[in-house]
Amino acid sequence: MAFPVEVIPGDDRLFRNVPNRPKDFWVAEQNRPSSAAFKGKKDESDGRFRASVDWEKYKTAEECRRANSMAIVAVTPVQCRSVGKDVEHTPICSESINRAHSDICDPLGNAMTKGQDARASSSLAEAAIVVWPADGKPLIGS
Amino acid sequence: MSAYSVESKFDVFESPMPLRQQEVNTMPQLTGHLQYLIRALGSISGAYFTPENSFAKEVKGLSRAEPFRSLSPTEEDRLRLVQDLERGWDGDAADPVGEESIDAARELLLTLKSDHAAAQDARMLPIADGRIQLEWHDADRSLEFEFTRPGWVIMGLDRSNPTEGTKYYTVEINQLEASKISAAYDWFVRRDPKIAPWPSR
Repeated sequence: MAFPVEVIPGDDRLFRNVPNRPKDFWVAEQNRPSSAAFKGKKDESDGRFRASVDWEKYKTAEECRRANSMAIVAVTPVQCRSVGKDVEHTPICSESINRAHSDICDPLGNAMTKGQDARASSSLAEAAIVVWPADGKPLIGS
Repeated sequence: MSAYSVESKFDVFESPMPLRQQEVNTMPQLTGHLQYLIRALGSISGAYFTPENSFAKEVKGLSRAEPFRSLSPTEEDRLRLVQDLERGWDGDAADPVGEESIDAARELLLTLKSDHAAAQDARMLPIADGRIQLEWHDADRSLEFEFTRPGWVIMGLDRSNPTEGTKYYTVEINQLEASKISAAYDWFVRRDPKIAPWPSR
């Protein structure tokens, strides 16, 4: 089974898991996640850094939560592009099927410097909105 | 000594311990917290012990005295927690934090404490690819050090003027540069743009 790769509308929400360990993933003073929560891994096939997210078209925020979730936060493709990142729908069809899977990544052919990536990650952390838990309060120390 | 830590300051770490620290180390019955406090007090010899925070306009007790040999118990706990994270700690495919990152974080913090003996405890965050990030925050300002193997990206966030939005400042260093690390922390606690490691804007 293979899922078609789709274009994600600019205002759709992309969900990102914020782990609960260490609890400092949440910056309580500023009511936002740490920028570290938006820093991904380098894809050796194209040299771009990718952070996994789930597209709301195929998953709810509740479905994105994991055993270690402190919160699920949301950003949009428009917000990602405004800080120099790109967004790609990258559905997973192998072991763990996930049609919602997408990546916040460096623009194709234009890998970001570490400084640019740090700024972009911080900007996304500031823009992120808590969508789980429903009351908007992360489960700090859970 | 690791490849990314070639500052002469670290040569001092290899020299015989000052008498004061020898004395401290002969008291094994002391708890880790108490030993650390005594080291901190000794390190700022003759100066005032003033905890640093964002409200301190004049931070005293910052003489370039003895280098620190150890982190605070809180920082040790935080570092251990990050070090113990297993593959997939993010609920996905994150790598465990590598020894190189742990060692680099320790050296950066010891370098900082050599200039800022009473520096606030750093927060330590893992990054999905096995690197580490150190952070300090208050209500409208943040300082982050992201390990980039072998160097660091230093980033300051200033949210103090709501009408202007958040300002971001970054500087990349290829090895431990004590003066820039110290200047970045000064920027965070003293709020003086003239002492920042990045150009004022």
